[in-house]
Amino acid sequence: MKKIFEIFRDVFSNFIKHLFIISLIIYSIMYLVPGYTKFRPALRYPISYFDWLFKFCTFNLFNKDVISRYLNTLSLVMGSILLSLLIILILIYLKKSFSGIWVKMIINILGFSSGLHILVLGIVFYLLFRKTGVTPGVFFILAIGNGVLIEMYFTSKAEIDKILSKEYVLAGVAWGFSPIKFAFNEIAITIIEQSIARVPILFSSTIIIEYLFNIKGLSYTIFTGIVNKDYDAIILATVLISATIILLNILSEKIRFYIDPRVKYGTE
Amino acid sequence: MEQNKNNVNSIYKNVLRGIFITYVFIYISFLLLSLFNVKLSRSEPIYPIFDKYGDALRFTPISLRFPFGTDYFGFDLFSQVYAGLKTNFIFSLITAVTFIFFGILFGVRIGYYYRSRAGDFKRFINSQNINQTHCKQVTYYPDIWLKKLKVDTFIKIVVNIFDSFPLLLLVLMMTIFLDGWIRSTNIKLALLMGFYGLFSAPRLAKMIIGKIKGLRAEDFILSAISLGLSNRKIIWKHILWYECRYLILYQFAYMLGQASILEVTLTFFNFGAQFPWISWGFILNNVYKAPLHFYIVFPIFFITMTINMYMKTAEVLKDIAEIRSK
Amino acid sequence: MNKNILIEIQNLKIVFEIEGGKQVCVVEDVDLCLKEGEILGIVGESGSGKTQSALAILGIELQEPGIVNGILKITVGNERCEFYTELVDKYVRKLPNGRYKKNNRKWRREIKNEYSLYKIRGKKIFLMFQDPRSYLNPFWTIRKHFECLAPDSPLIEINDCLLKFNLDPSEVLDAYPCSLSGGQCQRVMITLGYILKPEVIIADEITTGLDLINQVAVVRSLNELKEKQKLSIILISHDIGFVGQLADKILIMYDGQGAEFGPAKNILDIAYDIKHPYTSELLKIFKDKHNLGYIDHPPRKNEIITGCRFHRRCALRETACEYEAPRDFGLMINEDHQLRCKKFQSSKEQ
Repeated sequence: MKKIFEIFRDVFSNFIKHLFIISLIIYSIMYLVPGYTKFRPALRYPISYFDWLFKFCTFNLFNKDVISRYLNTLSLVMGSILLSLLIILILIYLKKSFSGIWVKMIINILGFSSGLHILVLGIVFYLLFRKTGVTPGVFFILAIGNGVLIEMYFTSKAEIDKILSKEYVLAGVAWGFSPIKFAFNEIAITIIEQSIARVPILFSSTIIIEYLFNIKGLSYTIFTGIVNKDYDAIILATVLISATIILLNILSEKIRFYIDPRVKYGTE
Repeated sequence: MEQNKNNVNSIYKNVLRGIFITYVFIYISFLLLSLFNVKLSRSEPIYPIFDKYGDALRFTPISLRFPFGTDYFGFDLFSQVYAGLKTNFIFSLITAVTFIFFGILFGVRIGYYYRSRAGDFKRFINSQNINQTHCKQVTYYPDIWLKKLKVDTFIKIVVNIFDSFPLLLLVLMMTIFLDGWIRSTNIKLALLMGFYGLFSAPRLAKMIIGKIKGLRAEDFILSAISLGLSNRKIIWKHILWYECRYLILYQFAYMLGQASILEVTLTFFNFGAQFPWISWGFILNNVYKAPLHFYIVFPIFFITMTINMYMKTAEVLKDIAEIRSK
Repeated sequence: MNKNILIEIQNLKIVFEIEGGKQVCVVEDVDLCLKEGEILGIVGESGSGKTQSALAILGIELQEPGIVNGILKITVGNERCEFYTELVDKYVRKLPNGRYKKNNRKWRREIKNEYSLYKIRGKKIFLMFQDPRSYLNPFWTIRKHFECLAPDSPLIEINDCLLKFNLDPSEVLDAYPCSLSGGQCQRVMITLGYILKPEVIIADEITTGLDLINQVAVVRSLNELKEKQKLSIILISHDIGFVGQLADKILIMYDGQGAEFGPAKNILDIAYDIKHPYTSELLKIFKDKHNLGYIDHPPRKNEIITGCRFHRRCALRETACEYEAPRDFGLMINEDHQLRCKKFQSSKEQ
């Protein structure tokens, strides 16, 4: 219980620091846009900023619409990460077990498809399934486009190979354990770090997917806000997205600190 | 059986390599022609083509006049793809150059100067429990290095924050920011691409910082300073040229690919290049609005092959960088 | 007295693939035999293949596409393993370009189903490593190591064993390996060996890197293990002096091959006539390491050698040694003494 409280306090303090800085930067950029300060003179900038920050922290700026849009975008991102993790683990298992050429062919095809940008993939899928009215494979597009899946595959495979060739894993095998059970903690940490590192790219890709497939998400809010000059919505949406990314980044840093005793006790 | 499999694999790899190399030659030749404004087709990319009854010539068959045919709205696809090459390349170059410039600047500033002298001095003071006023009189480190430490800490925090933010959203925010100040959309696009390079620079900065840390761990920098080399020589010759040149090259190629994607995306959303500059995003916008037809293969093929070409060169340079670093 | 043979290896060969698709033969034609209640010492330079041979006993290849050839028979308790040659015939093929190709999936499936290696590892044969700080799981506390490796042992027994090896259970059990010293981790590993009660212990350079006091403590604890639990030990080291204190039989390895195998008293006796030149050199170095001239290094792994691998350093070399390789362990003095040297093989035939 004490440990959980410590972790929570650590993460929260870092999160608040980063959130303060990034919301300040975003609010300042928007405040400088001509047209936004029509009814907000420059001298009132600190007051309006802290007023906005207070409302944000006490959840007064959120309504059902904003929350549902946020959850839509978050589900797109998380769904694509989970799908790509699943595919990666299957591919790694197949590559280790089978020495056939067909596994290499699949990986080469996926590598080639990483050059297909999400825009191109999305347009092709949209045109193919426009008449049916169904949008299948949105997570698949998000995972494959921009090379998220293939980059994650290569980095995860290299890291897992490195971990499985470490000395303590060899000792575990010599003592009758399965290598994956023995090295599970370290493999889990690297996979979590790899997947969290891809989150910013996925958030920026959701804007294209939401535009193409008409999904009501947070990134689409930014896009419509730009067209309709709805600055408040833009600020709220960008700060929400940046807060999510900052939180995930802090978590990925702290995970290694709290789970790996070598980092905690300072030997690495 | 094994030999057959190996042969198939090698044939497949050689075919891919051949396609890649031929596309590189085609791309470079067409790019040079478009940069020198050589006209290759009779029709203009800006205007749709109408028949004698005033209807748009939709989906005309492939011929010498229309090598890729026309799309739903009557635009000649070949001249659009050809004109889009120039736009795409120029705006990607702006991004890549700003990316390299700021990446090296931040990387060297934080990696080389941060914690090198000011930080060592501060740590020395803290470990020795010496009276600070006495120490300031005795040592040769000036106060300004302590101030530089604070600036570098601030830069480091900002770099970490911008590194974790989705860049496309930042760029879209900058469009509103620039909307009120600049009228011309093409200049706006150039500035946006510059901002994209600037916001991506922390990635390169972190890699350069990692390399410098590795050199420092091997006492390379300390021995270079003790041999009397100036900071400029250490940074330019030893760090950037000997250690980081392949890294910079492959990040340059990678950023060209990313920037070409960004340019197409922005034009697709009508925030990018406007007439008279033609972009591939304009083609994709027309394709999105029109019914499905197999002529979309041509522009999509060129867009994907261009991006793949940049990514492939980046991979090849990355492999060379890894081999050299070992 | 005829003792039971626990581990018997004949013609062991290990080939690895390195970067660039090259293959390197790390161990070639190694034979050894371990009987019940015996201590076998394996001595050799760094890179002579000692650790690889020990890992091959447990069916572990350090690098993934490792290919192992030879006959290996393990009989411990009720488990009997006999493998490698049959698997090699089925799943390892020599390609026309001279390289080996192994079907990993089928190989692993065969080892899992037909042979009982997984029942032997950790339970009947326990492997102790050189640097236990690197080889203990850094994410597990010492308590978790004991719980997972020896779940049936009561905590009281573990505490008693730790106290016997001068370790405070309250300090050690809840600590991670990274927060213990090298000597403490080594003693933890020996305690593990004590608690598990295996039939064979393979100790891979366990005194390398320890100070003299800890080395003496380790030697004493191994002796105690041998007397109390009557187990067999394979001691791997590059220090012939340390091995000579404990071992009943010694295998000298040079460049991936067994040079000499026999009783310790014969091998360590400088005055004994029939001795491999490499063994003589090792004993001279052990006796007087400060007054030595130039010593050559073993041949590179990818160097093709037709003759004897030791001929460049050998004081007794002849012209034929460069072109003709000696037969493996041709001369049989006693039942168990074997040598790989043309001089002794040809003189016996004459």
